[in-house]
Amino acid sequence: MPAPAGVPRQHNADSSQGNRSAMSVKARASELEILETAEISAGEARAVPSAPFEAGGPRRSLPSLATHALGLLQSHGPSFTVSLGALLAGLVLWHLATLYKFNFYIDFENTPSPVQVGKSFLGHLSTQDFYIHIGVSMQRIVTGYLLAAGLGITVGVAMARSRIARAAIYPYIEVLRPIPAVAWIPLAILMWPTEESSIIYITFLGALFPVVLNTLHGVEQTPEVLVRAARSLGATRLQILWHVILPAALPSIAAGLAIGMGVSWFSLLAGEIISGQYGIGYFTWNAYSLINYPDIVVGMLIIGGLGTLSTYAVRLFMRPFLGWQRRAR
Amino acid sequence: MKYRSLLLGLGLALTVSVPAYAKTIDIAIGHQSMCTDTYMAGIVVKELELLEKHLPTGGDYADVTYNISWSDYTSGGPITNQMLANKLNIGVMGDYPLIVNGAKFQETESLRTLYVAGTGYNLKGSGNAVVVPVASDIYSFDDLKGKAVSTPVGSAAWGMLLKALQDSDIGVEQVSLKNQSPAVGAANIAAGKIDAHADFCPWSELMEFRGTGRKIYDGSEAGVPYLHGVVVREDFAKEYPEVVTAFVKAIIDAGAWIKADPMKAVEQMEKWTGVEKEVLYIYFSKGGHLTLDPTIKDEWVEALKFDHTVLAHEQAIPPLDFEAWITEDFVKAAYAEMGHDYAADKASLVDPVAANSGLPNEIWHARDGISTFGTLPEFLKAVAELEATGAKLNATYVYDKETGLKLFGKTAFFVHTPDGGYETFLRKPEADAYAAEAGGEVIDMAAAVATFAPTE
Repeated sequence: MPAPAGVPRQHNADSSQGNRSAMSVKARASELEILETAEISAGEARAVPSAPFEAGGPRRSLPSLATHALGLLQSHGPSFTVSLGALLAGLVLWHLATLYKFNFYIDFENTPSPVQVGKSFLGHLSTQDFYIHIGVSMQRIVTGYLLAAGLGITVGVAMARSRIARAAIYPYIEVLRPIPAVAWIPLAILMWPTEESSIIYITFLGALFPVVLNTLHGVEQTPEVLVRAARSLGATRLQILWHVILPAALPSIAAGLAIGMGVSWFSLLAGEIISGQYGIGYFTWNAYSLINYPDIVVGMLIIGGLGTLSTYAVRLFMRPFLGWQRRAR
Repeated sequence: MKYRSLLLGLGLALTVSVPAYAKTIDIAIGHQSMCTDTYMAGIVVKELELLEKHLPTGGDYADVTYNISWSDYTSGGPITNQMLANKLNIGVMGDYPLIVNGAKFQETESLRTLYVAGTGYNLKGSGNAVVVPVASDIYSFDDLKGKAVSTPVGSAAWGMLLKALQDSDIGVEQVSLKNQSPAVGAANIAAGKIDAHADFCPWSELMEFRGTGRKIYDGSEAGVPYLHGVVVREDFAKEYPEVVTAFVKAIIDAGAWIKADPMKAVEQMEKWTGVEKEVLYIYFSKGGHLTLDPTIKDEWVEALKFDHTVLAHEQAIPPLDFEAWITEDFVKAAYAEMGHDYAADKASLVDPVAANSGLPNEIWHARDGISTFGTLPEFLKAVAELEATGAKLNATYVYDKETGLKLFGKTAFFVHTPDGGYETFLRKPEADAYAAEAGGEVIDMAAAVATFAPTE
């Protein structure tokens, strides 16, 4: 059973605020308890994923798998139904607004209807190009995102653990962070050797800052008493980093990774203005230059859908590493 | 019951419209300050306040105040988007975006636009061009086979490129066609990241002037007229036809102002748009790429119909009823009220090959302005002498022997023949051919000037 009221695990990704409360929840937990779990978690999280979803999945027999699925449906069913219903309601409202040409402050007179969008979506499904657009974009996201995650976590930890690194890097982060992806286009073209690298750079930038800042935040929130306790038990600096600091910072890092994934998707459109040939951002942009509204909406929805899926994938990936957290509470 | 009241609410929302008598008339115009051919109906009208001069003030308009707003865009697409949203009444754009505009409006149930006037044209299609990075070893269009070529899809330059590819042996499949907006394409050319970029005026000449790009193909080789025009929302034109006529009058005035003193005009335009005056001069001067003419010629309708077939084939653009879309009413009314001869202007067609033959070469001295030279030796001698005194030359202009196009001296290929004569060419292949035939040699302008350098 997934933990109920999983404040940090389920919802923290959407704001560092949620994450902060997660940390305070953890901080409030008895120090002794944390000390134990922190000790175990680092080794265990990697070796034996403790999340029930992963644990023993393949070993289950078919009937028990069915009961498991039924259980999942029972626990998730209501909220799933509500979500599905809300989406359908939105679709119906959209349809009605375009059908009756709703025009009261907001004008639906010439907006494409869901049927038009669906038709053009189906039309695209049968073309090869459409899959190339999606594939190329996914590739860019994965490359840019992995680079950002790797560098972001490293830089974040360095900044949190070293005063000098922090003083040197922080100004860069703060100055570069507010610059919108579109503004980077001309320089990205000039600076990077290939078109592809310019686009990946822009996607990378989008994901980088949330990861860095959340890592920094997470590491900073590591209770100093744990570090001192570990040190008094004779742990080396590296051991402390690996067994105490990183596990403690993981919830925050996971949140940063999830936010970063979302941001990298909306940087992608800016990046793909350069591409001029493939990519779902380019597809949307191209539709705009020819005033093809249904295609614009198809592109928007694809970006939204892929963004949701990939953020979910990030959370799923992070789950085993956060196993200690559930037991800590 | 609920459903009915919802319907009622929607119905009410739809029927509430602008009161019949309005004290203020909003005129919202979308123009493109980075597209030279739209200037006569765009930046010039705006900055000289020519529309204000012609707006009706009597009769039904006696108590009216006008609220004119200008919005600047980098391409026609966003203007059409804004017009569909009724945030712009009037839009100025090039031929392909015009087609998209007309067709997209006709696709809606009730909204329409009208094509009310042209701004200017080039009969053979100059203004669009294919440019390669200046250091590239590509010299002719045929070299583009297997290369990556970018262009703003949906623009006039894109249409020209498709036509050129179809006309050549290359074919559309044998180049990798990319969609890049002008600014992105120009940056890629400057950085040498794309093999070639096809764009509309003034981008090609801008790249040449800034020394980042070199033209390998001029739109004139495709042979389809290149034109720009003005579209107006039909509901606006029906409600305020006099305002639309006033706008066409402003276009005529703007054209006259440019023709009266091109050098002064381009200096002003540089201040307004940031495009270098030397680049603008290549369009707006006598012998320039652009013929200022708001009339709607039968040839234009034919060209637009051709453009539509290209768009329909490549981008599934909906059909367009040209009869309903194009109207000469407003431009005729403007001509009549200003006492000009519409039929005469409509009948005239300027072909640069004929019109520019024998036009003098020009030197633009930074301080003394423009001086003209009838022959190339005179021109080269003058450049040599000026350079010897250390004078700063803004630009020099010569003409392509092949097409009659105006060129920057520094980008032209000079052919020096044994009899001491000179000819200038836009492209290397033609220059080479001429040199081979006349037994001369192909040199650049610096080498041509060097032979005239004062000896002392």
